[in-house]
Amino acid sequence: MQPLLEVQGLEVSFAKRPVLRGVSFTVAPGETLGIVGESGSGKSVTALSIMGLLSWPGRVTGGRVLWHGEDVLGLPADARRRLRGSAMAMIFQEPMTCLNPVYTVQQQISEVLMLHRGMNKKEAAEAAAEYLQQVGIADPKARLRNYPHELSGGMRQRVMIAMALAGEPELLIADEPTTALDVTVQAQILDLLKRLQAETGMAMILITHDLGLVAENADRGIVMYAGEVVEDGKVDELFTAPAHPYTQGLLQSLPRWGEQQDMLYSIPGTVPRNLANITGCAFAERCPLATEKCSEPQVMHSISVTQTARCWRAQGQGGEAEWQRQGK
Amino acid sequence: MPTFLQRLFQHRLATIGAIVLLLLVFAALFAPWLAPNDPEDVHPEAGLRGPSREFPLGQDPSGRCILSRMLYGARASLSVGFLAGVLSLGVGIVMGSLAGYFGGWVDLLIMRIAEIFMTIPQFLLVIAAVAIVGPSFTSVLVIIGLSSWTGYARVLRGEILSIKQKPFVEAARAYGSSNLRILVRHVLPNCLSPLIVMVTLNVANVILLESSLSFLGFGIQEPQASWGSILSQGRAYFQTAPHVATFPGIAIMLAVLAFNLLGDGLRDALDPKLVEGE
Repeated sequence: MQPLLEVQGLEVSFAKRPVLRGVSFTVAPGETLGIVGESGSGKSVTALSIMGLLSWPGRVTGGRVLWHGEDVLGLPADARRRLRGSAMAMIFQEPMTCLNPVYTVQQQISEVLMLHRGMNKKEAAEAAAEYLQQVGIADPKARLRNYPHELSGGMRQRVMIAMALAGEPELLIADEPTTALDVTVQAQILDLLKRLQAETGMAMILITHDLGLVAENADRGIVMYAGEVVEDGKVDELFTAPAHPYTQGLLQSLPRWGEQQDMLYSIPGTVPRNLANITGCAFAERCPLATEKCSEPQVMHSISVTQTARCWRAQGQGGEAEWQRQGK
Repeated sequence: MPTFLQRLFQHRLATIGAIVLLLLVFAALFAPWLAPNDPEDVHPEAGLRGPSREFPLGQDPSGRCILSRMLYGARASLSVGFLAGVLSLGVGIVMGSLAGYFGGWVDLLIMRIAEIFMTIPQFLLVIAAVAIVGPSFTSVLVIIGLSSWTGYARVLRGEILSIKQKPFVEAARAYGSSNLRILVRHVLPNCLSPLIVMVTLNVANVILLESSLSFLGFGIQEPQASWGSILSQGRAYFQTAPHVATFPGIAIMLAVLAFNLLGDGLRDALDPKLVEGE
C-alpha cells in the first residue's frame, strides 16, 4: 500500500545552522505515528516542514516530502496552501492562544468550512454546531456564541480540534496537543483524538516528549535526537526491545509503578547545540556504551521488518535498513 | 462583564467629551436652522458691535453675525477634522500593514519615508504645500490628511509585528488562510484599539491645524466661515472688541478638549490588559 505521507532525507537549516539532518519516515493511511524526542530534537520543525509552515530563517535544504507519492516541497505556494487544512491539518501546543481573541467560536469554525468546503455562512453555522458536538462539547449552540477567553483550556483545544476536523483532513498533526493541559483533560483529549480517528479514518502524527502518550496512543513511533531519527519501530518493539541506547535511556528514565527507586535515572549531559560539526553518532558523548566506532557516520540498521535503529550495535541483529539499500 | 460602551461611559470626563462633541456635531449639521442670521450678510455700519438680541454673540468687523458664522464654521472645522482624520487613517493603515506584515525592503522603504515626513514639522509642511497648491477646503483636507499618516503607520507596524507572532496567526496559516486573509481577518482586527484612540487625538490635532491655517489665511477662504479665520479677524480689535476673538477661541478649545477627553476614555476602555483580565 502506498504510504499517505513519506518523508525522505529531510534537511532543514535555520540561517545555515542545520536543524534536521536527513529525517525519513512514513505514515500509512489511518495510522498513528508518535514522534518522541527532547526539546530541540527537531520534532516540531519536522511537523512545520511537512505543513509548509517554516518561517524565515528556517529553510528546507534537502530531501523530499511525498504526499500520496507526489513531492509537495516543489509545489507553488498557493497549491501548498490549499493542502493545508484540507489534506493535512495541525493542532498546536498552546490552546490558550491559538484561537483568535476577536472572533466567536462559530466564526472561527465557519471560516475553515467556508474556505475548504465551499459552504455559505448559514450552512457553515449549522455544520459548526455538529463539529462541536463531535468533539464532545456540551450545549454546542451556546458555545458557538462564546469568545475564546470565555472557554477553558480543554474546551479551546476541543475547538481547535473541531476546526482541524472541519477541513476533513487525511492527516492530523498534533504538536504536543496536551502539554499545556491538566492530566485529566489530557486523557480526555487523547481519547477524543482516538475516537475521531476511528470515525474518520484519518492518520495522525502525535508529537510529544512524553513516551507514555506514544505507548498508549500510537501504532508506531520514531525517536528523534539532534535532528535525526535514531529509532523507528512499532510501539511494542520500541518499548519491549529498544535497540538504540538513547531509546533505552529514555525508557529507563521513566518512573515505574511498584518499583522502589531512590533516584530516577537521567541521561547525563545535554543535547548538542551545534549540529553542524557532528560526523558520527550525535548521541555518542552522552552514551554509556560509546566506543571509538561511534565517531563514524551511523546508518539505520534493521532489527526486524518494522524496527530500525541508527546504531552500529544493532547491525548484527538484522543488517542495513531496507529503505537505505534501495536508496543506494 | 461590562460592554465596551459601559466601560467608556464609566469614565466621567470621556462622557463629557462625548456629549460636547455630539452637541458640536449637532450644531454643525443643523447650522442652517440654528443660525439666527445669514453668515455672509454684512452690516458695515454695525461692525464690531457687542452681543445683542439680534446678534447673540455680537458682530465681526464687517458686521456679520458671529454666532451664525461659528455654526457654519463648525461645519468646516469638524468636516476637515473628520475627513482628514479618516484619510490619514486609511493611508496609515495601508502603509503600516505593508511595512509590518511583509517586512524586508518594503518595511525599510516605508518607514524611511515616514521618518522623512516626521523630520519636517507638520505645520511647516502643510503651509508649504498649501502655498503651492493654493488654499481651499479640499486642498487643506487632502494635505493635512496626507501629512499625518506617519503616526498611524508606526503604531500599526509595531502592533502587527507583535500580533503576527501570536499562535493564532500560525494556526490560521495552518488551516490554509492566504496572506491577505490573515492580514485582514486575523491581524488587523487585533491591532485596532490603539488606532481608534489615535484617531480621536488626531482629529483634535487636525482641527487645531485647520484653525491655525485659517488664522494665517492659508485655510478656508473668505467669505466661507472658519473658526480660525473669525479668530484672526478679531485679533486686531482684541482690546476694543474682545468678543470677536473670544467666542471662536472657546469653540476651538472646547472641540479639541472634547476629542482629547474622549480619546483618553477610549484608551482606558480599550486597554487590552483590562479586557483580558475579566
